[in-house]
Amino acid sequence: MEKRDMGKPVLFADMLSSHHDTGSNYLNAKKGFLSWLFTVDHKRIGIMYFVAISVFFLVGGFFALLLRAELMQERIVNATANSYMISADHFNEAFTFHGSIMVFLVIIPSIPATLGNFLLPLMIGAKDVAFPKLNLMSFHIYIVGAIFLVYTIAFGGLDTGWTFYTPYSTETSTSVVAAVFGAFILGFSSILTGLNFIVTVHKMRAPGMTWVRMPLFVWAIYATSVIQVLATPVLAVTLVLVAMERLLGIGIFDSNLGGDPVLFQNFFWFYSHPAVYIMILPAFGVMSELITTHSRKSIFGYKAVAISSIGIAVIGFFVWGHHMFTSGQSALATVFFSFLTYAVAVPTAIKVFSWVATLYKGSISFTTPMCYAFVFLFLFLIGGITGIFLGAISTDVHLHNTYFVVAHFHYVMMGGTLIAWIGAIYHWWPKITGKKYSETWGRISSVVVFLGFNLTFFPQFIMGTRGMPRRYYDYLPEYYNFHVLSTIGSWVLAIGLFIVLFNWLHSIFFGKNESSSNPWKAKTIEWTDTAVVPIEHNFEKQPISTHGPYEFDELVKPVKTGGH
Amino acid sequence: MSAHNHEGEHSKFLAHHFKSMSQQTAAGKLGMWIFMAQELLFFSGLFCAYGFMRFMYPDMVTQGQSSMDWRLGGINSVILLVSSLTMSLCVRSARSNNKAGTVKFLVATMICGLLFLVIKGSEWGMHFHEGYFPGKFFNPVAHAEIQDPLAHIFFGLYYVMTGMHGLHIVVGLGLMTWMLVRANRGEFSSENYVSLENTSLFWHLVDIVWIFLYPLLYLAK
Amino acid sequence: MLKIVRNKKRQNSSEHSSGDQKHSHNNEHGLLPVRLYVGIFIVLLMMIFMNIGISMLPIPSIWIVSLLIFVAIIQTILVAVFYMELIHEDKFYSFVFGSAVLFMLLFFGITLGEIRGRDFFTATEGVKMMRGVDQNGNFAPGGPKLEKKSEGSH
Repeated sequence: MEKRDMGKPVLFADMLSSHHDTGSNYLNAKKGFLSWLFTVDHKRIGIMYFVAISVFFLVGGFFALLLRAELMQERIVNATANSYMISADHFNEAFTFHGSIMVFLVIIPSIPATLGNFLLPLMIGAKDVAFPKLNLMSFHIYIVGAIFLVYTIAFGGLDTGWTFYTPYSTETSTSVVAAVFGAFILGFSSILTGLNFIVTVHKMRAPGMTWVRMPLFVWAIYATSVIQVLATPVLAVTLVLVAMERLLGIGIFDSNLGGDPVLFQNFFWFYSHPAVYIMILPAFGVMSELITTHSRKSIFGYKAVAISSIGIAVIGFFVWGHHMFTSGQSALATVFFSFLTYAVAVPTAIKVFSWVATLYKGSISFTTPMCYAFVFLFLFLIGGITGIFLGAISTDVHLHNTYFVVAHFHYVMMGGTLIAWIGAIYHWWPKITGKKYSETWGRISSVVVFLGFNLTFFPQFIMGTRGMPRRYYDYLPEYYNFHVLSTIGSWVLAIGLFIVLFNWLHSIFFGKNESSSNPWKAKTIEWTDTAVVPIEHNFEKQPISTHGPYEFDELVKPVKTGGH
Repeated sequence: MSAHNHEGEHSKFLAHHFKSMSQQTAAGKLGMWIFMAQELLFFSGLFCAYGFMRFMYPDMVTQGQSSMDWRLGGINSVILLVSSLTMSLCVRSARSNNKAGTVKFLVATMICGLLFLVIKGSEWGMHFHEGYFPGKFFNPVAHAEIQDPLAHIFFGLYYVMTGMHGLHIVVGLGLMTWMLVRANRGEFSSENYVSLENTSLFWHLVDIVWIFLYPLLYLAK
Repeated sequence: MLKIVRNKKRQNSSEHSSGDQKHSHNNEHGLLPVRLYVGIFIVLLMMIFMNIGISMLPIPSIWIVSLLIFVAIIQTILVAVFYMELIHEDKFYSFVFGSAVLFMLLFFGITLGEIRGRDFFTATEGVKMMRGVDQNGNFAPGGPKLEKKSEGSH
C-alpha cells in the first residue's frame, strides 16, 4: 500500500487506521488526497465537512473575540469612529463576518452535514445515502460557496450585518452582490443535502425498521431536511432579488425606488426563522441519543418526541414576523405571529420534559457526552425561555435590537446547537475514529465551556434589559462593567473550546485505540452492527431491525411495592 | 410486485447502494418531486413580489401591462403546451422501448423550447426599443406610451420573472440535450427511464410556472 | 405546428397497439393511452383561449384576476395529474407537491395579508396608510425620488 504524504486527510487516515489490525475500514480503504476529494462514501464526506466547519468556526470565533476585545476598552468621551482599537467601519465588518460565517458556514450545516451524513445510513442500516454523488456535489458546492462568501466579505468590506437589511444593503457600495451570490450557492448545498436525506429515510431503511423504530436522531434529521428543502429556496430568491435590486434597481425593496423594506424583511425571515429550526432540531435529535444512552433508559414518550420534531418544523414556518415586531409591519400580523411563536414553544417544551423524565431513575454516567448534555439542558432552557420574553409584543418593544436578543440567540444557537454538536462528536468519536479520547479533559472542557459561556452571555441579558443596543461600536459608560465581564467570559470560553480541540487532536495523534465496537453499549444499529470503525460499505450483512432503538437491558421498570 | 434480485440478475443500471431497480427508480422519482417542491417555492418569491407590486401600484401595473402583447404571449403559451405534450409522449415512447419515438419527441420538445426563447427574446427586444429597460435603466423614448415614473418597478419585475423562467427553459434544454445523447445511445427502455421522466417533470414544472406567468403579466389588467 | 402533432398522432396510433402489448410487462404502473394525452392537450388549449377571453370581459378587474387564477389552477392540476402522471404514482408524491403548494400559499397569504393590514387598527381613527403619495399627492420624504414633482401614481 503506497503512502502518499499529500495533506491532512491522508495523514489522519493513516494515523487513525494504521494501528488497527482489524483490517480495512472506511478510513484506510482507499488512500490519497483525491480519494477523499472525490469520494462518494457518506462517512468520508461527513468528515470533510467536519474539518471545514471546524476551520470556519475558528475563523468566526476569532472575529467574535476581536469584537469583544474592542468592546472591553475603556470608553472615551467624545469618541470618534477611530477612537478604539478597531475603527467603527471595521467593527461593522467584523460582526457581519462573524454572523455570516457562523450562521451560513458553521451552525446551519454543523450537525446535519457532519453527523447526519456520517450516521444517517448507519442508523437505518443502509449502505449509503440515496444519492451519493449528489452528496459529494453538495460538499463541493459548500466549499465553493464558503470560499466565495469569505473572500467577498473579507476583501469587499461588507458591513450590512448577516441579515442584509434593505435599504442599506441595496445602496451601500460594499460587495453585497458577491456576498449574496456566495450565500445563494451555499443554499444549494443545503437544499441538496436535505433532499438526499429525505429520500434516504423514505426509501432505504433496513427491513423491519418501521418509522417508530427509527432512532430519534433520524426523526430530527428528517424534520430538518424538510425545512431545508422548503425554506432555503425562498432565501435563494430573496438574495436574487436583492442582487437584481442593486444591479437593475427594480424597486421592490428600496423605498427610494418605490419599494418596501419590510417586504425584504418578510422574505428574508421566511427563510431565516425556519433556519434556526434547521440549526436546533438536529441538536434535539442528538440530545435524545445522548441522554438515553448515557442513562441506560428508554426515551420517555418516543412518539411525542418524534411528532414534536415534525410539529416544530411545520409551525416554525409561520412565526417569522416575530423578528419584525418593531419594523413597522402591520399590527394585525404582529398579533398573529406572537400567538404562533408561543405555539411553537409547546413542542419544544415537550422535548425538554421528555429528556428530564428520561433521566429520572436512569443509570446516569457522567461521561463527557453526558456532561455536555447537561450543559445543553441548562443553556438551552435559558435561551428558550428568554425567547418567550421576546415573543411577547410589549416586552419586545423594549428588548428588540438590544443585547438581550444577542444573548438569547447565543444561548440557543451556541449553548444549544454547538454544545450538542461537541457532545455528539465526543459520543460518536470511537465509531468515527476508532480512538479513545481523554475523559478527564473532556469533562474539564465541559465545565470550562459552561462557565465561560455563562460569564460571556449572561451579563448581556442584563445590559440588554437596561438598554444596551446591539451592533454598536460605542456605548454609554454605565454598561462598561458588563462588557468587561462578557469579554473575560469570552476568553474563558475560548480556552474551554481549545481544550476540546486539543483533546480531539491528541486523540487522533496519540490516542489509544478503541477496542470495543460498542463502548457505550447502545442499542442502535450504528453501534451494534458495525466493526469498531465501519467498513467502507457499512455492513457485512444487511442488518435487520428487530427492536426499538432504546431497549436497554437494564430497562428500569416502576417498582410496585413502593419507593427505594 | 417488484422483481426479486437474484445474484446474477443485476441490471447494469443498478447502483451499488440500491437493492433493486424498483428501489432505485422510486428513490429517483421521490428525489425529483422534492426538488420540484423547492423549485416551486423559489418561484413563489417572485410571485409574492408581483402581488406586492400589484397591491401598491395598481394603476401603474395596468399601464405597464398595456405594453405587453397578449398575442405573442398566447403563442408562447401554446408552444409550451405542445412541448409538454411532446415531452410526455417522449417518456411514453421510452417506456414502450420505442427509441425512434423517444428521440423524435425529444427533438420536438427542444424545438418548441427554442421557439419559446426566440419569441420571448423578440418581445424583450420590442420593449427595449421603446426604452422600457429594467429598473434604473428605465428610459422611455419620447413617443412611448408608458411614461409613469414608477413603471420601472413593473418592468424590472417583468424582466426578472420572465428572465428567471427563461433561465429554467435553458436549463431544461440543457438537460434534454444530455437526454438526447443518452437516448441516441439507446440507454432508455421500459426498465431504465427514470432520468428521462425526471427531465420531463422539470419541463412540466416550467410549463406550470408559465401557466401562471402568462395571465398575471399579460392578461390580468 | 399542428401538422407535426397530427403526424405524431398518426405515428402514435400505430405505436399505440405495440404499446399495448408491452403494457403487461411493465412492473410499474401501466402506460396511459396516447388519446388521453392529446385529449388533455386539447382541453388545456381551450383553457388558454378561455383565459384570453376572460381577460377581455367587461367586469371589475378583481373578478378577472380571480377567474384567471382559477383557470390557471385547473390547468396546473391537469398538467400535474396527467402529464406528470400523479394519477397513478405513489400518493406520497402528490403529498409532497401539495404541501409545497400549501406552504407557498401560506407564504403569500401571510405576507400579502401583512402588507394589506398595515392600517388595520388605525383606519377607523382616520389614519390611513397611503400607498405612494400623501393627501396632497406628494411622495413621502423617504419615498421614491423622481425628477418630476408630484406627478406620481394616484
